[in-house]
Amino acid sequence: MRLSPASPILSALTSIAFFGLMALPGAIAAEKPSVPSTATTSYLVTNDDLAGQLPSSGTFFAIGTSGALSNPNRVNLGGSGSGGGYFAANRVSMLSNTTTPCAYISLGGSNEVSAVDINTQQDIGNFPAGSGDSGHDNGVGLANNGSYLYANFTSSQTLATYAIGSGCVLQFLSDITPIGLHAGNLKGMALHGNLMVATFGDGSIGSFNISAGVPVSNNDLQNATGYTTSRFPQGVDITQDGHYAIFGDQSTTDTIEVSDISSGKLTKTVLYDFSTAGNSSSVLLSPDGTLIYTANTSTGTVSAAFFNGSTGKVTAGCTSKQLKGFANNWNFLSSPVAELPSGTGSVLYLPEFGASSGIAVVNVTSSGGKCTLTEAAKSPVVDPDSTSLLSIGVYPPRSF
Amino acid sequence: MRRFAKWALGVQVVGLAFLSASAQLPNCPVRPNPGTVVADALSLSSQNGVLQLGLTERNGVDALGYTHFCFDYATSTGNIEAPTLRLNPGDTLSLDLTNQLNFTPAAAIAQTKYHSMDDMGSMGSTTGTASTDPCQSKIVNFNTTNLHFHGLNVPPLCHQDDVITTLIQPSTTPFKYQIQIPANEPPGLYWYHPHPHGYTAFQVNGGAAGAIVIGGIEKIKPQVSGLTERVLVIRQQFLNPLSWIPGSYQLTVNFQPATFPAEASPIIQTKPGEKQFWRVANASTQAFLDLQVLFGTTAQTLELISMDGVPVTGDPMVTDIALPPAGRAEFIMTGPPSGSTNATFVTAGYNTGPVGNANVPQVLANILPTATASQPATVVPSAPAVRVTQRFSGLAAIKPTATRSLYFSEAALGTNPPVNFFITVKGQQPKLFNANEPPAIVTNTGAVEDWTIENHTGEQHAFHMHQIHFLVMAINGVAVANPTLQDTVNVPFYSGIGPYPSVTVRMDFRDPNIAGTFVYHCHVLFHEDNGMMAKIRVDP
Repeated sequence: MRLSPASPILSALTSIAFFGLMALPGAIAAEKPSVPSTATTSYLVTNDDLAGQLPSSGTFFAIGTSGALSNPNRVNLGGSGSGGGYFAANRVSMLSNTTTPCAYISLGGSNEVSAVDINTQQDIGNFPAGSGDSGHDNGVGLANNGSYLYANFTSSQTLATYAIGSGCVLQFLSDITPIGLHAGNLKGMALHGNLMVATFGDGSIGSFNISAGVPVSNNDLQNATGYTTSRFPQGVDITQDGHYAIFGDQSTTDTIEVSDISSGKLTKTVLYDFSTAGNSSSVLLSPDGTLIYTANTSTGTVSAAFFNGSTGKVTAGCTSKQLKGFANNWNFLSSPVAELPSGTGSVLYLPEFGASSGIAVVNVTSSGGKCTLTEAAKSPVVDPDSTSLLSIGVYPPRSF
Repeated sequence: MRRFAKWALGVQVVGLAFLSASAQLPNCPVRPNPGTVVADALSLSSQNGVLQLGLTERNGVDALGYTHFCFDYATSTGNIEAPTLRLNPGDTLSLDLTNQLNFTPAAAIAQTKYHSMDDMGSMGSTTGTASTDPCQSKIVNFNTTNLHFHGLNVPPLCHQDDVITTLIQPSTTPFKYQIQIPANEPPGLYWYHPHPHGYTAFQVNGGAAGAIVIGGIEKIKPQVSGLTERVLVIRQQFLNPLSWIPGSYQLTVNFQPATFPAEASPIIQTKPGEKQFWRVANASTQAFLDLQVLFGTTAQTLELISMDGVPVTGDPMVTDIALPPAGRAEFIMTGPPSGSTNATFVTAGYNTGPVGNANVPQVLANILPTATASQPATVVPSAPAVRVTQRFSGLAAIKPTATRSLYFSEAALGTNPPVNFFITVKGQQPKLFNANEPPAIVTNTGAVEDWTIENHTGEQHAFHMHQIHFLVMAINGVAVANPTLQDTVNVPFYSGIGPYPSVTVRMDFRDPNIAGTFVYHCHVLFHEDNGMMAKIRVDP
């Protein structure tokens, strides 16, 4: 059963769910994601992001041996998508919860977030934010820390905070309007503990304190190093120990920037330019923290760079061959996700956006300071329910 | 501006032409209704070696919501828009431009800026107090303007053809342009348009563009003598040019919308079987055209006379003419026979690449044979005078003094604009255009250089050089059989496989009058406004 936000049943559930939450915000905020006991199968979940039609959907693929994807199951979400948008605005956010693991899937066209129960693959409900929040043009980016879900409504340029209640139910708390140094609006965000690191697409980056849920600026808004050479951080990830924030730049080359955030604030980024590929707007740190993956959307390739978690230094790694169908079946490559929550992730999945949307499957090897990225023989896997695939998630997710 | 056009605007041509847009605007003249006879713009010709005139740039919004930017010329019977300026080599153009722009962007646009370049301070500040001297103004915004005399081989100086430092703010005091046309300027079609970086596309989208004809083409191409001449300026207007979803676009022919079947097509009259000399300017912001004259579905032979204002070598006969944004073509066409009802002037459509804009086939005008055809007043002189030596002559045989490699590239932040656009000299770091930065290229007068421009993107670009023409030597490394002098050239899109597409052009910096700093850029104006431009300095 899918409940509308106005449903009295949903309202009752929401009230029940948040009774404890409001009483004990500190305890909820400290809750750590963990692998659920009930969801034993691994899934890849897409945000089909269908614009201008109802309903949009998410599609669940079972992840099998060697990362093979099978049994797509379309889950209607009721609302509508935005049909594309920012690479760095991930529209799928996975919640590991011992009772109800769920996938949050944003609906940029109808300005809401859908919560889908992973065990049942049923839409629990759709949750709007503030009345002026809109993601119509470029989507709604999501991130969660188990206690709060943050939704970046890119058209209204507002960042909404929801409290996560039991059963994946969301309660909208409030909006803020984060703006970059050069009037850019929020693009990418990553969370670690009480810290949110954000990119603004205009060359600037900033961080927020999220200990109380709603983000409060840490007053460290600054130009990244790449700003002076027209390279602008978009995607962002944070190391497991919270020592470094890693940025993937909108650039004509594969450009990564690293900031030491061990003080709880951003420091001047160090820029690494790998000229083998183009436009690294999407970035992902491998579960073991040794590789930084970037989707090079201009060249249809994926790259891995080696990351030293002790020093924060990045060194050249490897780049795949051009993935099949680039410039013919699809035109843009977006945020990668990893199959496994450990090691290198073993297999990377990347959404391919275009007339024939699909999911690229890329095998990863890394040993002795060398790596390979090889597209699987059966890649890409067609997403039968999307013509504008830009964001995917994997369950169970990486633990940080 | 790109992805949306591919995905969302495939039906743009048949779009929003359901109302007449001819209602008088407060500031801009009436534009013609659809389905009427195409008229040439008013011609203003030099007298005793001087063409003196005043233009006032204004803006308004028509009944359909299209924002007009108009160059008004005052006459005793009212203002007319975008006159054709006719001069001869050696003449002086004395033009007083008054900026009376008064555009107020929507609050959201004013706050957030409408494209990325505003954030980069590319020309200077968007606000503040402008210098009273437009040659030193650092302010550029929606109401700033200037003029570029596209194709003319004249100095890159303030009060002449400078677009880097010349920024004219609204004022009742006119700004003086004083330009001497070189004595050896190739005779042909040029054009003028605003070029305030960051806002060029917006103003040209509004129609701020007009033709310039340098006389004397009959001296080099005597076959045009005595022919009726038409000057056809193809413009393009998006409904919401400030949005990344700018809505439907319309091509217009001398300001008349070409939106068949939503509206009747513009009508060009010829006498049955009459040969006419057509001068066609692509003054669109981003439309790549493939021009044809069709009888039914059969493309007619056109005698190509000139490209980008320079008469071509030989007398090539063609059935279509690819024209990038800002390109010009001059050709002799033959009108349909008496009784014909299926003759059309069309663009056959253009594949601009996987992430390029849609450029669909469409009728630009119906060609109607009429014994009493309404004819433009202009007839090419039929008494050729002494033939002159062409500028750039012999360029193909000159050994270049330097070679350079450049490339177009893009960095998207998503599937929609804004996109950061770059033109970069190989070996340098791609950077968005910034007028305050040093030039990317420095050379000397007297240099002749071969430049190879690659396209690393999945969409077509149009390379344009200010101040000089270049000789198109090779495409994708293959020598061009009959090189043409152009100021704007198509650079094909990259399909994702194989070597990058390229064009190789020969630059002629021998004229000391063009010494100074000027720009080269993509003439898809949204690309230029968003960074795909760089500076070159030619030292004396």
